[in-house]
Amino acid sequence: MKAVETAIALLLTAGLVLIIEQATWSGGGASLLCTLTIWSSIAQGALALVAACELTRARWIQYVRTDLLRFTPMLLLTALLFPALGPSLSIYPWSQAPTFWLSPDFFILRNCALSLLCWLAARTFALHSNRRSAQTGFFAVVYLFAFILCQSFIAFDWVMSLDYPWRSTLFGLYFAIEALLAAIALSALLLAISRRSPTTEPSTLEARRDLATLLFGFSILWAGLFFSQFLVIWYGNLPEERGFLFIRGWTAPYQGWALLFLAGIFLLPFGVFLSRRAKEISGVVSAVAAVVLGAFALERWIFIAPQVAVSVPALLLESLLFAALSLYLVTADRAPAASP
Amino acid sequence: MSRIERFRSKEEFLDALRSNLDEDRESVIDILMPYPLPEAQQLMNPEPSQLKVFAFTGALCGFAFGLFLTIYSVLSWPLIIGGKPLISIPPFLIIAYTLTILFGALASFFGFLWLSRLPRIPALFAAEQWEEDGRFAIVLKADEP
Amino acid sequence: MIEHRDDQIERDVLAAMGRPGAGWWIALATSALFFFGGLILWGYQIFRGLGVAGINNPVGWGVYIANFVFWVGIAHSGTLISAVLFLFRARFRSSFNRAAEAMTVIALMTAGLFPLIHLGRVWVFYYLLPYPNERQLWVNFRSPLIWDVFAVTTYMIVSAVFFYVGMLPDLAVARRRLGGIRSRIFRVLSLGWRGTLRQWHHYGKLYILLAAFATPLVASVHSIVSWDFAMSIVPGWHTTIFAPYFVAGAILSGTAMVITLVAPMRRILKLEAYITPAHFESIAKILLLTSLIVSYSYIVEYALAFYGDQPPEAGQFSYRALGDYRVFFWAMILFNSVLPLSLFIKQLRLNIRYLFVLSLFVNIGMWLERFVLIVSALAHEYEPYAWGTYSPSFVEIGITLGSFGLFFSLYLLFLKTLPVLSITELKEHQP
Repeated sequence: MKAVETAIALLLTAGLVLIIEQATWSGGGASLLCTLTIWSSIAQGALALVAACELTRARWIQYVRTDLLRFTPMLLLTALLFPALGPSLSIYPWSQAPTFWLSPDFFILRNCALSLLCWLAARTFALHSNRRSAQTGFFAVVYLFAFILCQSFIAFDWVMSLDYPWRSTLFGLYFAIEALLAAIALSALLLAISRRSPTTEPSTLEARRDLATLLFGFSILWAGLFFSQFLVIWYGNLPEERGFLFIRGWTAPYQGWALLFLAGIFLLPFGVFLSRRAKEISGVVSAVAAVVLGAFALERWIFIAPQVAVSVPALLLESLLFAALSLYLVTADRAPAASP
Repeated sequence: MSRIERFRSKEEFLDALRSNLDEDRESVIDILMPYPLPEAQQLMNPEPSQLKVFAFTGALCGFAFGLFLTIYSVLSWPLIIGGKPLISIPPFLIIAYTLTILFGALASFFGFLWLSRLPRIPALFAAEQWEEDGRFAIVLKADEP
Repeated sequence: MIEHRDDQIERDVLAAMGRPGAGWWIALATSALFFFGGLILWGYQIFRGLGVAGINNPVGWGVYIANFVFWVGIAHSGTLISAVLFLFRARFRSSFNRAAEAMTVIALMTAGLFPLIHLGRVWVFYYLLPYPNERQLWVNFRSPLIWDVFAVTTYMIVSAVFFYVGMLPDLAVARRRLGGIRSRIFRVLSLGWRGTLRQWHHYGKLYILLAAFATPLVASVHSIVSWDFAMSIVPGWHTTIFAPYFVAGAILSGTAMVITLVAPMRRILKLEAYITPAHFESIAKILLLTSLIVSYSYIVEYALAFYGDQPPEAGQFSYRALGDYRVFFWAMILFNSVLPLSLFIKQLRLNIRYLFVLSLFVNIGMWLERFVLIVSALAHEYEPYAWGTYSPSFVEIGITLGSFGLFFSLYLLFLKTLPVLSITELKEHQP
């Protein structure tokens, strides 16, 4: 029964997204690409966070584990929506002169296959994790492999090849860490609304503090990776490399937005969570987490927007749909009355 | 005057500490522990450690000094090197970051020495009245002067 | 009952500091011999000039720089184990942290020598320090080599402080338990530590703060070392993944070295009760994880070298795998990426003898990696006219062996002079 409901929700979201994409004002596929880049990272990151915590036996995860695992169907949705990019692959500069690797058919095929693979791995892992089976660890490792692979392809294929022939070897790892960061922020939000964890209980307090510390640590790690990529390109100052930074960091309107996402992902969590007290206040942690998620989406937009025209209303609408779907997935079977 | 009571196990120590504190909070001058016991620390309930002030100040000074050193030195003899701007913030941030950590760590260490009154000079050369002997101990006010 | 166990821990750990046996003397003599051999060769190099080393155009960075990167890398896992795992509340760290922290300090001492050796005219090393010279010129703060001076010096100081602070309560135990001159030395070193409430109170805070300061260093020091290479525009060096890749490589080689050092130490000093196979398993997992990250970096670097149209980059990576240094390259792939995959098998992770052998291979593999990375990039840059090869001279090989001699001599001395396990933490964490 539940599976059917979920399937309907997925199809509904997919249908609405595709309708938005058909509208003339939505631009050819760019906003869909941006939406998928944001949400598939969040969903894959959520599962990866659970997998990593299963392996390291982190205690705080128990409060949000089931909620995070409910994001599994969203992985299927991104796999289903990806082929819709097919007709609009002309947004990629390499589509003018395809090579063996960067040819439209192969591009769609491999990315669909990978997304499906990631969903399958996630599904298996989620089943085992929910049942607390002995093989959870094994499937966590399998999923993490799929996660790294998928994030690398999102980074290198979906986003980096928009700037073809620009390249950055760090991009894949950077995306993976960013997905985990987004998932940590998501967990902080889920912890705040979770019913299993009354906000005043000491163990919840500890979990919140751990999560805030993790957000703090990952924001520093993120800044380190961001700086590593920035510095190498800035210092090398090679004409074929610097364009990527130049458009995003030194020209309007992206410069202002770039400073904003830097502040949102790094400076804000870093500054706020230096204080031990701030880590214990539910409102503060949730607010910072929400800003981090927003800044993360903003950064993805800045990666894509300078190369192709992303229609912001379409992006916002589609993101809203995905957010609604997330809310549905997380809350669906909480209401016990509905099931017969 | 004061006297010392030593205990075989941490349970005995905690019990004795509890009853002594209940009886008269002022009677317990100090406790000696071979390793930190969070329970005992809670019972004694000391003021929160001010060490973080040292760490934070040190780190901030390090960051400021790093930026000052780099920017001052390039301005004191302006010379373009490697086609980089005179005040190249990205590389200078590395120096500032490194000094943040260096100054922060050293300030914490010396702050610790200051706050816990170490080193105690006389104790460096000769044994004193009550040394750590691997047992838990409570230093109490002596009843008789 | 508990006191008895505390007593047992103190006796077992301090027994390791007892009168050394013949094996220790032989090991020390051998290591010291290598070290003095290296010193003599360095003297020879100073006397004759840097020409006695094999480095020349186009390969101006050779074994010395590879050694520098290798030893700085070795240092990293010490801080990882002592600081990062402390913040993550991983209990198994207390079996390794003292040995690993000592390894960090010793490896940094060894590493710090190599920039000096590589300078040639070592007596002007102070040119690297930030001060205005007689023409009021400062050092160039935009140069990665100056970042290195700052990063490595900071790392050295912070890890020495961390090592010392972690040992402070144990030094007080040693003061009480040992007799004679050692008691007097430890009396001074322990600063009059008594374990009072005030001392423990601030001590706990200090340890957290130092761990928090040391943790970013784990990531940053080797990143900065990697930028010595990545800031240039040499194909094979100028790539953005270098920082995390170097950090993972550093931890890979460092954990391997921890296993190499601790596995025999556990046996010879009879510490089997305190360092169990389960502890080794945890370390082996870190080794496996970092090996996977390193392999991922290899794959991404290779894949993207052939992405787009960049003949110098593609040429460099073909050369690395198929050119003059291909044997080293494939050995490095085997040792760093393939062999550690066996650690997916739990039985092997628990088998200390297997881990010891594997760790030796990883050590060799990581040294080869630095060699291949540095030499093959310089040997095959943009201009075919300027291509060339490099092979180390006997002086370079001798000094390299000498650095291993120094490292092991200092480690052996550490084993007999300081408590090799954290007595305080063992007491604290006993069931």
